[in-house]
Amino acid sequence: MPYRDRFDLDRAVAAWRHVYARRRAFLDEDLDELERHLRDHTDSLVREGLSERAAFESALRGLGDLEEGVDEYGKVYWAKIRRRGRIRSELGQRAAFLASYLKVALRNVRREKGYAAIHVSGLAIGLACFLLMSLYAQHELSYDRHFATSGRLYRVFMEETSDGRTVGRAVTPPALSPTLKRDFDVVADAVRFGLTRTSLSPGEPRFTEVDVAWGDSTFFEAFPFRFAAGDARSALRRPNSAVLTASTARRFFGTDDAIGRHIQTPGLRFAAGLTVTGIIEDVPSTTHFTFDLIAPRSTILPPEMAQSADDQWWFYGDYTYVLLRDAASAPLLAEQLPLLSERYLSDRPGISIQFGLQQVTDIHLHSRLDREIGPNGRAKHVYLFGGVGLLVLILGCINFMNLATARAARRAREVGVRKTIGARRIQLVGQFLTESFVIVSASAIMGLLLAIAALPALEGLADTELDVQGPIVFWILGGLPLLIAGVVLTSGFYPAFVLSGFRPTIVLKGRMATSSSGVLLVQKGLVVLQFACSIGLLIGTAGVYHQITYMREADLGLDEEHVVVLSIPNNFRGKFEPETVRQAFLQHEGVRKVGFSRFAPTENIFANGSPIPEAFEREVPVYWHTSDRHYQDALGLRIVAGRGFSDAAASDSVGAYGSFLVNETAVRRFGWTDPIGKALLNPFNREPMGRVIGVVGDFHLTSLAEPIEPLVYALARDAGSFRRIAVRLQPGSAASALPFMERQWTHLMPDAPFSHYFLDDAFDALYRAEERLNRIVAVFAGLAIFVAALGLIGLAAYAAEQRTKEIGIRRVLGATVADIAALLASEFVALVVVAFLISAPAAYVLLQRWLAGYAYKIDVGVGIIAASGGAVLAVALLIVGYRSVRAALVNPVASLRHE
Amino acid sequence: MLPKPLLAASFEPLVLALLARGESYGYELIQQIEKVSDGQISWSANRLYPLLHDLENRGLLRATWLDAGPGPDRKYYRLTAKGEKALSQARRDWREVHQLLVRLWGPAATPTT
Repeated sequence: MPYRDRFDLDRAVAAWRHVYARRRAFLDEDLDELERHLRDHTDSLVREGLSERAAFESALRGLGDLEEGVDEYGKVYWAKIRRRGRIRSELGQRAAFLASYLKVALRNVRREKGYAAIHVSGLAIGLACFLLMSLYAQHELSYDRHFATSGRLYRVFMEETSDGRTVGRAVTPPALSPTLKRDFDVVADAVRFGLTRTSLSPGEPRFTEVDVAWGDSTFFEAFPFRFAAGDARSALRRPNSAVLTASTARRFFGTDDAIGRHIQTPGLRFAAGLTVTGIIEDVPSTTHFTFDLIAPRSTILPPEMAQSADDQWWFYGDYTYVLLRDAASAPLLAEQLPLLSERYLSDRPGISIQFGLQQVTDIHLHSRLDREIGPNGRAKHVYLFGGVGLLVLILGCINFMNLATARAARRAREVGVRKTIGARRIQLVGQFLTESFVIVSASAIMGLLLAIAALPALEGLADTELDVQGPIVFWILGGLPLLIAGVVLTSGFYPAFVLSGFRPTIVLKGRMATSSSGVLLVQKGLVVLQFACSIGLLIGTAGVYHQITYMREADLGLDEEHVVVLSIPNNFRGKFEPETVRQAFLQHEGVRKVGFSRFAPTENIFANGSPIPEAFEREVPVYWHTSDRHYQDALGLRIVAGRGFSDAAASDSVGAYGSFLVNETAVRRFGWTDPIGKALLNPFNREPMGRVIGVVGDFHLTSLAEPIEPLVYALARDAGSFRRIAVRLQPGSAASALPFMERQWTHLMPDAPFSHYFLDDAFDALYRAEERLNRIVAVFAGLAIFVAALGLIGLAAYAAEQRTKEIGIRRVLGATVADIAALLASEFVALVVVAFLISAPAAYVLLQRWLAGYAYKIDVGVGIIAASGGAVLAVALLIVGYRSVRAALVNPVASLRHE
Repeated sequence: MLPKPLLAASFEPLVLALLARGESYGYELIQQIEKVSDGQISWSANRLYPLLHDLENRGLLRATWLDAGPGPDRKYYRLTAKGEKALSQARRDWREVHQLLVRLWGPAATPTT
């Protein structure tokens, strides 16, 4: 056979395949199938007798036309792609759209970095404020709820009525608790509790002042603190046991493991030291009391007091708490409480005592009784803070809405173009919503970070620690996403819809300013609202600050600085010689005056006497205080008529009490023109009790929120009624005088605790709630203004840009930079003025309402209001002025070409 | 030779019908149709195989590769349940057309051309 005739099937097939393989329509497996077909056909033809070559060529022809094959294979391939694509695109379409929106949104946002920054920061501040305020509100509302028993835990308070005046007291008779437990089924347990401050020592010669609580042995049944060591049930059973908080244990012994350790009690001489029987968690800040150490009642209180206590109904020094068997039985118990008064307290005519029930979780915000354990918060303040936080958030949202609209309008031309090529309205709305979403999310994250960063500041302002863990989880998981969605929907929809409703041709021709007059009006309205809120807040802040300053700096009528007040416990009355103590104290050069009395200022708010003034028909309720000769001097009271006690002569003693001092208000109330020498009569038998030898100038016994009432000082004949010692110190000598006094004290009265406080501190503490309020409102006023300013910046910039062309024309026609600036600024100044006119009267009225709760208050002068309005106006002018000047300075040619 | 449109229209039902008789592969199908149609219908590979692939993509056929000696494996096709349903539908459709034509061209009808 000739060389050329030698036929190789495989080579032929390979050659064929090579040709086909070059065409993209044929996949490898298609070629495999075709090759197989080729070979099969060739084989079958060979079997019929053809030569391999002829068979192959015939089979090759049988394949068909190459181009036709390419077409057919290609068609099937595309059909497959399309089919696969259709299934996936149902899911992918949404994602693709979102992705493209997101891309465009990010690009837009990045393009307008400046405005985006304003958006983000305004909203972030609003969000941060809202977060912080809700944290604070939640904190305040959660007091005492951490006790597992809080649903069944109540405090019993008492109401004392005499001479037509009723006073509520948080302290109760010691007999109350055991009686409740004994006589009332619904009571599962009743415990007594109290606080004092004394010095203890862990063994070294070093003493530390410690807040010591006392409680009945079942205290931890009612208040289930977590025990790190020791057993709750038995920890207070044995006398001289003590349960420490973890940090106190660390303070004393350097370790939490302090069971069995010994504590010396130099301030409680009758107790032979304490043994630690338990360690508990620190008292959470959200509790209406706090202590470092708690010991059994019988250990802390002097023996006579502790033992006689259970039948004593007529003095009060304990806080009584009841744990009910069942939360629902509270009303039942409340109904039965009057039985107590009938059974045990009906033996004193003229004085009626009733008991009431209050839920422990209500104490912090709603209880305003005499002798509360500590300064409570006020429910009103919580609502106020929550409201203010919400307000700033709303301001931030308004900002966002405004600026979003401005931003949308700025890109109006782009929208116009897109609309003319048929972009659907929904797509546009979606676009803007996505941008809003990006910005709001960024704001939310920033707001969260801001809130976390500002938390220490809030704790400082509010004077408490705040627990963040729970709330943060809540916000991140649920609150924030909801908030973001809410803000996006409410703030983003408006500009999106507004914008997509514009007719494209008008937009293209640049006549935005006129056709959008409706939009601009709404924007301006919102800015007015923002500024109105800011001005209002500012006025409120200024007013409250003024009032607080006034109250703190007002002349109280006595000299409250450098005065220490000591407490004499009830069981020591009459058991010491006041003059001895006085002389002992006076040995120190820093001690200038020492006086004894029944009550000290800020303590007693109950009018407790009702003598009949001479020549007056009826009894007059008065503050009846007994004191020694030196007390008025110690307090620095002014004698405005007659003499003080220190100059009292023996002949002044007539009647049961002898000599009286009255204050000016008493003189007026008694209708006396010449008070010296007048008598005060016993209301029961109309016998004279003594004569007035002098008049003291009116002074404040308590907060300036309360009016000054008539006051009578009775010169005590014996020391039995003295409970307080007022010691006036030389300025600067407290550090050395106090320890000296304490030593003298324990020497003379070995078992009495040396419990003291400074009088000016006591007065300051009266205003703590107001100060807290003011600090926080002030911060928010500042923030509100800042947010409003941000909004104004954006708006002014937008307005200036919109009118670039107009400005250019004016400039060409000869207007100066000043003219233009004035023109633009005046419009915005008008806004601020309107805001002022809206908010100033409202703020004035609200401020007056708040001030009505104070007996002594400032006059809300025009000054405060004008100053606030002026401050805001100045800020607005600065912003608008800057923007206007910048706009006016643009080269007129450039702005005329601005298209 | 039948006109192209008819060939094209009948392609799918014929393939399904042939595969209803059992699993088969491309070359065999071509031979079978030539035998059954007495040479009237002659499919080319370049047109049959794409159709088979399309039917496979649409889920009417399932394919398996089996060893066939020297050279590539052979691709066998068989009807799926969906394919059988499509075949029944095609049968109904063609029967309807056929009956219509018979009615018009039947013994009583006279062709006008």
